Amino acid sequence: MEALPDSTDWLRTSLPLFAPLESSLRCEVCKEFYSNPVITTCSHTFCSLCVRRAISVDGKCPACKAACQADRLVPNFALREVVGRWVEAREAALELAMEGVGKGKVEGVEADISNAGMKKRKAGDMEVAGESGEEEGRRTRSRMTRSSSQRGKGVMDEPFEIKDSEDEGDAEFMPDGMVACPICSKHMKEEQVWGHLNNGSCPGEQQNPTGARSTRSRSQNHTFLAPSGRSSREVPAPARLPGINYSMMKEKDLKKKLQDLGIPAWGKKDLLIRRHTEWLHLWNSNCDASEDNRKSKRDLLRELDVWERTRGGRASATEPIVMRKDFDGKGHAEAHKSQFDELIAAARAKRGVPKAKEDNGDATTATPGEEPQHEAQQDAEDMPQPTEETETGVSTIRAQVAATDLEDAVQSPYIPEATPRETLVPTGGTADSDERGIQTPFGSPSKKLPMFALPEEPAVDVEHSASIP
Amino acid sequence: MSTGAKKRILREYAECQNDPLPGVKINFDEQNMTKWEILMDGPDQSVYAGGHYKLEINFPNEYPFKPPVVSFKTKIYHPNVSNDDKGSMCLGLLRPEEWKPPNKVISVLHLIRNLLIEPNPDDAIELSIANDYKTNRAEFDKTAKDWVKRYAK
Ligand SMILES: [Zn+2]
Ligand SMILES: [Zn+2]
Ligand SMILES: [Zn+2]
Repeated sequence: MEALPDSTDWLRTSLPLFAPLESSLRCEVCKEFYSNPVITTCSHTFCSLCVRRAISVDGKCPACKAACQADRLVPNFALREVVGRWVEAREAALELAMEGVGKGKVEGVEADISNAGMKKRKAGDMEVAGESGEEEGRRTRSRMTRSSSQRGKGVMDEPFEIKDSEDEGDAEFMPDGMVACPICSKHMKEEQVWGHLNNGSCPGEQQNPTGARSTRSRSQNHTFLAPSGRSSREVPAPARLPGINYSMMKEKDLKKKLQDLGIPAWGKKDLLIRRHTEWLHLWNSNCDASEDNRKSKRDLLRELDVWERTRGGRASATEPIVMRKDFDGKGHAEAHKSQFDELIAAARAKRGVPKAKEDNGDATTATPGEEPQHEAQQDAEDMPQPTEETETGVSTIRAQVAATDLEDAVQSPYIPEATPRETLVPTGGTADSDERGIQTPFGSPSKKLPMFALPEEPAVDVEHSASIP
Repeated sequence: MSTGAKKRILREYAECQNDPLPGVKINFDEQNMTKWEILMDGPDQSVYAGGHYKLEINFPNEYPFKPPVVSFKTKIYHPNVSNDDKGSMCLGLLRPEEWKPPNKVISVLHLIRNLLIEPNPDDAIELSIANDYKTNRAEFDKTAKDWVKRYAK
C-alpha cells in the first residue's frame, strides 16, 4: 500500500514541482494534509485541532509565536476545498505523472522490469522498494511502477463495476484490489487506504451494523453532485463552545458543567479541566469541518474516550505499548494500532541505508528541514521483498478488518450502547444519501457506478435549508 | 501521546531514513517510538573524529508542542553538552521557549551534528569547557580528543 504518502513522492515524477505545491497543502504541525484548516490572527494556517492544541499549551502561534486565541480562529474555506480536491485527485495525478516519466525521459529499461508483474495494484514507490540494487534509486522505481501499470493492473487502467448488491451482500467479497478501511470499513483500493486514513476522509468507526453501504465517506458527496447544489445544502456549523476561566470555578460547578455537556464528569478538578479542554478542542475543531466531514457527537465522545485512555484519567503511568501485533480487543483506541504497523512497515521500507554518502554529502547537510532534493540510495538487502509485501498486503488488511470488527463488539466504557447516533447537524443531510461506489478521483462516466445516483431524499435538505434564515 | 503525535513521529522517522545524515544511524524501537537511540560518528572535520556517540532523543507526551529532549549517553568534552550523567544538550531550537511545532527531528539531528563540527561557546551549558574552547583552543582540542579515546571508541 502506499503508506505515508508524502510530498516527496512527486520528485520522481514528471512533475517535481508538485512536491513543494503539495507541501504547501500540509499542516506544519502534524505534517498531514490540512484537516479543517483555520487561520490565526497572525494569518498562519493550521489544522483546527493542531492549532487549538498548540494554543492550549502556550497561547502562541506554532509558526511565528505570536500570541493567539482559540476564539479568534476562523475556518479557511478555500484552502479546505483545495485540499479536499487535491486529495481526491492526487492518486490518479501521481499515476499519470509517473507515466509521463516513462514516456518522456527514460533512457533505458531495467532488466529486472520483468519482475514488475508480480507487483500489481500498487502505485507509489513501496512496491518496488528493494527490487533495485542499482544506484538509480527513485527513477528506477518510477519506471517499474509505470511498467506494472501498463500491464493493466494500474489504478487507472482497470475499470471495474460495483453493483449495489456487492456492497451489502457478502461482506468478505471484494473485487480484485479492493480492501476495506480498517476503521470505517469503506471499500477502496488498497493503496488508497492510507490516504483515506490520513487525509481526514475516514469518517471514523461506523456503528451501523449493515456495514459498508452506509459508510461511504461523506466527504465524497460533493464530488459527484453539482457544486452548485452544495451551497444550498450547507447546514450552519454547530456553535463553538466558549473557554472557561477554570480558576474561578469550583470543582462542583465544573463537574456540573461537564455533565451538562454530556461528557464524563468523574475525577478531580485537574482532570476535569484537562478533559474539558480536550472536549473543547474536539468539539470546536469539528465546528471548523465542512458539513460533509463533520463528526457526530458520538464520534467525538469516542475520540474523547481515546484521549481518556491515552492521556486522560485512564492513561497508565507508562505509555501503553502501541505496536503490539496482536489485538487485545480493548476497544476503539486499539483499532488504531494497525495503522502503526502499516506506517512502520512503510517507514522501514522507505529508508535508504544511512551510510556515508560522499557524492551528495553536501546536500544532506546543507539545509535542514527542506525536502530532500537528491535521490536516496537504496540497499536491496535492507528492504522487504516486494513480492512478499504485495501478497501479504491484502490479507494483512483483511485480518485487521476482522480484528477491528471484533473490537466493535466491545463497547468502550463511556459510550452507552443505546446512545442514538446523535448528529451535530440536522439529519437528512448527506449521511443518509451517500450511496455511491468506489472512490475514483477522475471518475469516468463509462464506469457503471451507483455514485451518480441522485440522493433518495433530496426533499429533506431542500426543506431544511429553506427553514434556515 | 495522541495518535496524531505518533503518526508524526513515524513520518519523521521515515523522513530521516529517506534523507540520512552521514555517520548517523537511528535505532527505532517500534515498541517505544518516543525514544530514539541515535548512533552518531564524530564528524571527520571535527575533534570528535573517530568517536562513536550514543545519544537519545526523547519525545515528550506533548510533542510536537514541546521540543524533543536530546541527551548524550556517551561522555563528550563539549561546551554544549552537560558534563554529568545526563549529557543533556539544550540550545537553539531545542529550548522550550524557542521550539516551534513545525520544527522537525531531522533539523535536530543537523543541529547536533553541526555542533560537533562547530561548538557554540556563547550558548554553553559547561562554562569552563566553553572558556577552554575560546581561550585555549589547543588545550581544548587535546582534552576533547583524549575523551574520544577514553569514552567514545
Ligand atoms: Zn495539522
Ligand atoms: Zn503566526
Ligand atoms: Zn475509514
